[in-house]
Amino acid sequence: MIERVSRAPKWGIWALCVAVAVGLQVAFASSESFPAGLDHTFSDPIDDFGRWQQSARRTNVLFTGFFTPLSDMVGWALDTVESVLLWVPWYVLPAAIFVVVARTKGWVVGLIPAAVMVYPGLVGLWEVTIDTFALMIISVSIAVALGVPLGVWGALNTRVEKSIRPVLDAMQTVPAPVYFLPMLMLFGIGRVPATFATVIYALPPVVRLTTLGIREVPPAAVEASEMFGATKRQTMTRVQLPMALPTIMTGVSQTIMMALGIVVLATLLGAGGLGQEIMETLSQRRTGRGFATGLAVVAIAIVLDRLGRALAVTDRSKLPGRKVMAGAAVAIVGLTVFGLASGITEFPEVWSVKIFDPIDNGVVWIRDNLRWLTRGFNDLVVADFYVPVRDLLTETIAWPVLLWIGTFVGWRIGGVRLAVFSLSMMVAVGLIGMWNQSLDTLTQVVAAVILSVAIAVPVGVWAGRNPRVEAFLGPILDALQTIPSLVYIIPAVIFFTVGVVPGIVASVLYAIVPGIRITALGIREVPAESIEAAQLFGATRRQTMLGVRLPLAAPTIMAGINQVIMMVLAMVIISGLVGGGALGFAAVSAVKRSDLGIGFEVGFAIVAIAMILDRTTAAVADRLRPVAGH
Amino acid sequence: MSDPQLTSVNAASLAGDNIFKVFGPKPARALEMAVAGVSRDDILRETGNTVAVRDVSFDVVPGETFVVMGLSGSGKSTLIRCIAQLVELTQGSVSLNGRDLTAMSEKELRDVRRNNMSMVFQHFGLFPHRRVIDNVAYGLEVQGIDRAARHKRALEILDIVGLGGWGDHYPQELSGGMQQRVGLGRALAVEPDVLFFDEPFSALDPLIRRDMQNELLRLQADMGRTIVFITHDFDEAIKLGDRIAIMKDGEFDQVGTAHELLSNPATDYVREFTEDVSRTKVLTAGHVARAEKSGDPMATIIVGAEQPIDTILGTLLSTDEPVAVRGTNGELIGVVDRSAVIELVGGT
Amino acid sequence: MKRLLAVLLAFALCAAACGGDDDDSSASSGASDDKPTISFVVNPWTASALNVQVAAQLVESELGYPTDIITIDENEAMFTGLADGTVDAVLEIWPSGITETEQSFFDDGSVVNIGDLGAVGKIGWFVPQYVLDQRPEMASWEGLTTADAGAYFATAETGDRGRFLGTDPSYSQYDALLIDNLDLPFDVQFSGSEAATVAELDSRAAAGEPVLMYWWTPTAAVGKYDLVNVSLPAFTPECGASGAAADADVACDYPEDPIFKAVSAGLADKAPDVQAFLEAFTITNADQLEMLPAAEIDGEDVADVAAAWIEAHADVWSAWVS
Repeated sequence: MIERVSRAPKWGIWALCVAVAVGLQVAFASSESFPAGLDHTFSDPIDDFGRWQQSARRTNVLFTGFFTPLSDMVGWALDTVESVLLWVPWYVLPAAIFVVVARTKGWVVGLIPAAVMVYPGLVGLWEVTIDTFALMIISVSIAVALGVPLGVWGALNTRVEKSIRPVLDAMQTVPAPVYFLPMLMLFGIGRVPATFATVIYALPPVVRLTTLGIREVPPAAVEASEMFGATKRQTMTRVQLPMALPTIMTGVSQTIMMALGIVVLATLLGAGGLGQEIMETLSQRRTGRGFATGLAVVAIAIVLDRLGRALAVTDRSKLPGRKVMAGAAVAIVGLTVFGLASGITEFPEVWSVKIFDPIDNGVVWIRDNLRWLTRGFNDLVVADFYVPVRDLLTETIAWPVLLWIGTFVGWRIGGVRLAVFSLSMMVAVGLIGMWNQSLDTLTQVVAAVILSVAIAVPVGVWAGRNPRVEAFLGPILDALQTIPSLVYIIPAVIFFTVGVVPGIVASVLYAIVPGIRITALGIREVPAESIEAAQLFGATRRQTMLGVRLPLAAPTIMAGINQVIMMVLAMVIISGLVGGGALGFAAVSAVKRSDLGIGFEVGFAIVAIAMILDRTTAAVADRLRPVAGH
Repeated sequence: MSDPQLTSVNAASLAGDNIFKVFGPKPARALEMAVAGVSRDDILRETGNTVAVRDVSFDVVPGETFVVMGLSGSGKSTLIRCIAQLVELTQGSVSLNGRDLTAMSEKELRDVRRNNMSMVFQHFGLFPHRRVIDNVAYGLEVQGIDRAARHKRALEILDIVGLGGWGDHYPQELSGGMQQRVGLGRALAVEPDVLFFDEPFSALDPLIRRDMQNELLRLQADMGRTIVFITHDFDEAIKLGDRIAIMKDGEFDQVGTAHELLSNPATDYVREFTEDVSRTKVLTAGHVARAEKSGDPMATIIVGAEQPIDTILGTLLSTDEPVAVRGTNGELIGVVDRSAVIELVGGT
Repeated sequence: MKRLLAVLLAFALCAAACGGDDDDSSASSGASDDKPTISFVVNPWTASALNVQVAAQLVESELGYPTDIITIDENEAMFTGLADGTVDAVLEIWPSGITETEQSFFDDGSVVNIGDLGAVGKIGWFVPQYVLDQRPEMASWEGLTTADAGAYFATAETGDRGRFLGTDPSYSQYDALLIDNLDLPFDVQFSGSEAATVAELDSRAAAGEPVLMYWWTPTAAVGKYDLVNVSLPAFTPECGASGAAADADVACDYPEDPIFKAVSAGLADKAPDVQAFLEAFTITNADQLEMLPAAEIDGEDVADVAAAWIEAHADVWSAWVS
């Protein structure tokens, strides 16, 4: 396929493309924006449905018989976990975490998450943290309870796997807030819809990695079990699941990370907890305090991750004896009773929050002293890139030209299938009246991707060649991925001004993480023989890098860029909270105003952009891969 | 050393009847062509199906070690999976003690597997998350035998396979040879009537492999189970097998004892394998003995029928007269000429 | 094993020692188990949080109900929550923000208006005082009609037109219509959240840069940043504004908003004494302005600020609980 396309004379094809584009531009120069022929066609019925369900909530059997009981059940679980965690004396939770982790990992390792769990209390965030902790425990439990069986089913049945996979792909491409509206509709407000939105967003990794883990179990082990007359269930529970457990746990930790990304945004659903705290704190411009709150989210991430790893250990030989565990259990019960009896249950406020004042002062200092730099950068991006490109796409170039170019590029890169896909997605976005807003968002996405790649690829190459650099970057990248972006996006407004730039900056900070990691991986994976061969021929370091390392790492780097694009798109909604306008603002607005119809249209437009960019970059990565079998 | 539970012979008979196995999208059409005798390559080209096993039949008598020898791609691995019912037969049947395995329900088959058969795998197929003792006890565990009883039995088995004291280790802490002893022990623990070996020693070093072969011969001398053994190593086949089937392109080229294969290869393919084999090590006095003729001089020297030729070479060279060969009960089987042995050593 | 126990014991002792002086702060000490939990809605602005804190603390301490506070935007979902009893009460509804759908909840009786809060809100256009020091004519909308006025408020994104800073999309606002109908050289840029609006205001004020924005009283920011309400054509019921769904030809100021309270229809049965308390509950602009600076400027916890107010005004609230 690729062979055939690339054999055609290149300049001729592109000349044809340009000629058609010019022709279309002349023909349609005076035309208006994309005719939104299907505006309201989908959103009105959805709005009607939204209105219907408001009255149906109390009468329709779908709600009274299913959603409402389900909602009540989850609500009850959330309340129970939370009230138990708040009822026991505060020190019981770190102690219990210590025991669970120390049981399998040794007491030194156990101390880390226990100490981390104390942190939110020290900065006066105990109760809100427990709130979010409970939400995380319930959502991750539901995600695992649904995801592992689903993954197992997919592993056992290829047809099931084939039908699940595109759904999972879509779930990972769709920006999370798109789920928010249906959740509001089905479950009302509060923590229950937040729980379900979190579950849906965080589900894919655990399903995928369970399927992968089960598939990777050596067939001999499964045959052996079968040969001894084990039933399918026995083989699954005694052989396949235990052997797949390390892979499944990787999925669970990814699920935890994704869930944490969303619980903060779930404040838009009225979920309370740390997300709410961050939003309120930032409204009061208490950046340091917001940072402290963000670190509480990181604390939950660390604790849950370590707990998961500790619980997943299968090597039972090194566990402490029953007596030790019984002793630990008695000690915990003792602590609880002692605390309840003496009334010492609440977290003492021992640590002044003032320690975060330097951050507040730093923000003020940058605001007052580096304005020339930050505002200069802002105006450069806005006036010299964003506004001209946006106007070019939305005003100067006629929409049929864009359709043609998009389709043509799709065809050249990914063949007829991609061309047809891109064309139909673009037409659909135009028809529902999202054309200009989508191009506006696309412009911002492109700016963020260019900046991210400009940072991530060189840094990734550096890290890939120098393990010390990579080790140094590790915790920074972890932090960038876990700290809720709301924490740094509001200071970004102070530095750069309300508009597209804070959103772009936040997207870059979020998206460079996979960009750097995957680039470093690609560089590291270049076979040593290839490098040695180049050196034997007397290549300079620069020649080795440009001629061998980068080309061989190119497919992996392209996969990293693909991840960068997806991450930037996931941040579109955040940019809507700080003046980014376009689809991001429309999404925020739809969620905040319960506008189901618009929410659907915005969601569709974001998904369309995501899928076109995803498939296009994936196709580019494929083309870069050396053709096998020649 | 010998364990009473291992010596009690409850071996089974095993028979395969016209077994066909076709992989691919259109098995029915490919099967028709295979039955009609179209070649494997032609069937693949025309239907996209691979005929892995074609019209294989055999009878294994109780206590016999039946070796299937073939190179990679010969279909031997598929065949043993057909016999063990790990893959479904496209046509044909397999019966154990006269009971048709292919006609059984899932539950019946499970019961047969729990009580009558087990298998040792090429790459061991051990469970890395279970200790050695729990690997060995696995078959008993899935039968629902309680922990104490199955651990007791597993400890006995570990002694038998030479792994006493290793029960609490994890498989990956053991060497390759020891891991396969675990695999062997796991198979023996359930006291099967028939044991399947799927190239069990091919992943081992040559020295370890020889140890394991001897170990198996020793165990088999005690227990006398029915064994189906798959290998790609002709030396291993003649060392272990009572009868050997040479498999090529999914079919049996020839089935027979080592002597029959060596002395009378049915095809050029079989002959190629036999050429490099040291006959004096394989053949016994019994194999080369001929009936006593009337003009023969009186044989004064006697050898046992089961003695390999190379152990009686010295005896034969020391005399011009034929040597008498007697069976285990002392009966006279025949005589061996020096000339016959010289012909053997000189090669065919 | 001994070591493990020792560590745990040390933990417990430390905890006991550290926490020894802090066992009297249980907020729900007056709540008894058999009474149902009363859920209050709090909207994402500080005044709303303060009102709810005052009410919730009094309901707990004086009436003995456990309480719960749920944050949600002022939108249809909030009304759905009230209608199905997920939440019981909301204390700060701005009449200008009621949409048609939201009105239907009052019409069918599932949500009940229980009277005015006492505070009167006023949405409007605001500029910092330093803008008026330079351009005194901008105290009124007539001063904003010239191209020069637009350029004065321009940003990189709006080019030569002025930037009007809109806010959180869940707040009722129709500034784009006003700008169109008054023919002003401005574009609305939505900040997307109150946090972003405040950050922008802070940044602009620090550098003395001009800003024209959507804001409202009573708020602490008005005092802190010395914000002045730009006068628009006076509001009349006929001029086009009718609640959140403003007519396309609206060309006058936002109306004054007598803020009111509403409860779920079920509250009267669930907790009649709470219903009576909330009907009597009153917070005036003066009360709000007394509490707001502590919360919004000094960054104190809203619960503490509300507690201080309760402490100081027993004479006011004692009438609500009798």
